[in-house]
Amino acid sequence: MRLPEAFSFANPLKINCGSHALNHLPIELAAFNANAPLILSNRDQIGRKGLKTVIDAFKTSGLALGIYDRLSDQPQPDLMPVLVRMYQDGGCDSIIVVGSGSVVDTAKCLNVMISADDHVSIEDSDSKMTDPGPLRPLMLVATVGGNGDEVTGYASDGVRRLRSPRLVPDVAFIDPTMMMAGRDGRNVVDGALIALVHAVEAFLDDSTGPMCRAYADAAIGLIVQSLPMALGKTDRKRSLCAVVNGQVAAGCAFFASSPGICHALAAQLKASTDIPPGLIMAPLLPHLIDELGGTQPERVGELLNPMVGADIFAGTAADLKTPLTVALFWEFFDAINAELSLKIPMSLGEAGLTDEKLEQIRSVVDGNGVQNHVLRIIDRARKGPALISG
Amino acid sequence: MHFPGYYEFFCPVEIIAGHRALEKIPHLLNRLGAQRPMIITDKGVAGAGLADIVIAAVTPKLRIGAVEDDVPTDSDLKTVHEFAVNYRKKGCDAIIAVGGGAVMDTAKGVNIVVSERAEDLMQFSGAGALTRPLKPLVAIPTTAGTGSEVTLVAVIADHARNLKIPFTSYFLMPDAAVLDPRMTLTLPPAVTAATAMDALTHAVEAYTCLTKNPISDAHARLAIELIGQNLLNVVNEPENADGRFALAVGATLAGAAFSNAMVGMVHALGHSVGAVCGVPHATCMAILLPYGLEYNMHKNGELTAQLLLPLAGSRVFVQTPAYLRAQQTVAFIRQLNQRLHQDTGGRHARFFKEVAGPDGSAQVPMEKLEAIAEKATGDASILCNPEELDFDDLVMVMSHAWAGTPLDRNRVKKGSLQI
Repeated sequence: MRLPEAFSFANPLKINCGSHALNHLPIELAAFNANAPLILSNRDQIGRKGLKTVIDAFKTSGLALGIYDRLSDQPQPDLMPVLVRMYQDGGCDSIIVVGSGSVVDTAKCLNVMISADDHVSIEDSDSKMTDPGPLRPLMLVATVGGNGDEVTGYASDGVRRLRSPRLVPDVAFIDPTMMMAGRDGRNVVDGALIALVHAVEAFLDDSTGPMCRAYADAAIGLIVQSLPMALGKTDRKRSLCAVVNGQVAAGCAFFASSPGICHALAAQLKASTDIPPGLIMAPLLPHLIDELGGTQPERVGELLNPMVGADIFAGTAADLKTPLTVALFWEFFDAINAELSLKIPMSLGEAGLTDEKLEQIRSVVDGNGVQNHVLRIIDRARKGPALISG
Repeated sequence: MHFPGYYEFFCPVEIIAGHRALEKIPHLLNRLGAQRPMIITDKGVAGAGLADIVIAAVTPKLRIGAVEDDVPTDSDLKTVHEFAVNYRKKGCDAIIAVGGGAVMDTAKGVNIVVSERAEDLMQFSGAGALTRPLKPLVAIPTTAGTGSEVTLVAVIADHARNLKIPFTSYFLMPDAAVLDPRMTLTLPPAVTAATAMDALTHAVEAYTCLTKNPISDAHARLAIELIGQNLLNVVNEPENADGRFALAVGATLAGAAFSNAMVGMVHALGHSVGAVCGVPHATCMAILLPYGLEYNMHKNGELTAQLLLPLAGSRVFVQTPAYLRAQQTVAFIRQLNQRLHQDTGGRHARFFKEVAGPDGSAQVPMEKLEAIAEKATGDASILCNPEELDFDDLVMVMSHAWAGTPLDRNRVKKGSLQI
């Protein structure tokens, strides 16, 4: 293993994962001297049962809870002053957010607004925030449908994507009782694929160091090994728990590295298709791996270990590791597609992206250095897995 | 992949690593709101010039408030209080700990006293006594190592009462660990060997004992790979800065792993040998590691087998039949101890019979083995060991670790504990 010349890593998140994880909520709050949480959620996302499960964790705690469960799955800037008043009037001292996506972004932004000095506000700062200082305790109850962004220091306020290590939640609770998947598994798969791509790109990022790689390694193993079973018909909660654990680990790795090529490309492509972002990123990934296998064959080959274990990793000849890894990702997508009604597209064409649109994106890419990787990935991903024609 | 019923993982310590990592400390302390640190170190580290390297790297951007270099070989209650008095007197607002385990533990103890304005450190002993963040603490390890730069534990000796007092709290973890190979470049080969085996033991026990989890496993595997690939090179080429860096990073990864996954019988016995006979912790770990793996093999052999890959590399892993890999891992560690013994001119001990004290006499007499076993039955680390151990089992293991003979695995009682 080659280490970078220098690296740094920090992850302030605590992970509580498994049976009865939620029972630790009052204890973790107490560790921060907090005893008046405001619980935020989207009732449509987690249902009455989901909220009740969280509330039940406080049954014997004697704590008074503030609850607002009408958040939507889109940013709500107009709601922020209302939430601030609710928090302050309710005498709250901490936030518990249940769910994923915008719900968590809202909670993070609220935390800045109720914690920061008067002269620091989100409206006044640009995307890389001035340090808002220590925030109030923020607990995340992770659910299916997240993609790992929830545990990063990123938050969207509806206009900008903010970034600060202070935004990272203090504790993530991953409890099987909160693992409620939709009927066709789409909400599971989309987030899991985004997380997987983030984890793979962090794993392949040479500059981040081995601590980041450890989280990425764990994330890849958890998602690849558990996602197919999480979509099955029986005994899903444990597998879903493992997938969500993988998403959380992926988020930790992603925040420590920089958004990669697949992430950036998918961001450009998503406006041109109805397909969820995770399902756009997925068909890019094998081509990214194929590309990077040319410049970083050893690191790409190491992906085999978390994906399929030590025997196959060690026993595969060096020059076959990259092609095998590529093939295994296609097999992984195929296994997931067997359980899904909305399939992962095998090419950008299948994702509904026209040649015209792809040309448009190609034309803004300069064609130097890493951009050549990008161009080749777009070209190969148009067609899908490499097959001999005939 | 092993996915436990429930686990927790928490390592918020900021890692700053590199060949010029020390120079980043002023900016780091500034971010933590501190400007006047106390440096805590020991005479050995100071004598090796390491404290001077740190001071040169951080001044004049930082003004050093005080330097305390009198940490004894095991951290001491009286010393903690003396340092705390000086911290307050000199108006310090942070601690930079430069040293090994005893220095780190002392620094953590001082940080409790100055942060809580305590008169008596003892009121914070045990687990969970701290309820709020402490003042800034930056850890610069000078061995590779104990992993204390990322752990939530400090052990302080009360020499007056002949007791070792544990302190456990997430608030004890340093704000940052600074890994700079300049801090271990002059570490003598025998100390390099023993402390690296200490780190290896942390990673191996974290991976093979009962409270492992996916994140600690990933940290442990990377730690084992870094140590396995670099230890012998560094012992034979002490000025290999890249190798030193790899060992330092490996030790911190191992610290994060075992801090979140606990350890087992190697530590239970090792603590006891240290307590009864005064043998350094790292020496105990190196000797006992293969015995712990042998003893537990019928319960966790599959996990031990997996470690052959990061330890010995792909070729050895692939050419070893799967059913022999666990034994091969044990053999590899024994061979590593043997090579280290040779490469350190006999200073790295392979078994307890050859451990000599400062006066040259045998430090672990046979007559003490039962006392060691008795003490180990009460060590908390035994709780996470995959196989149960009673007094007779511990005596049996110690007798082999004393003589340097492999365990007779047929004599290991197979308990009913399901893992």
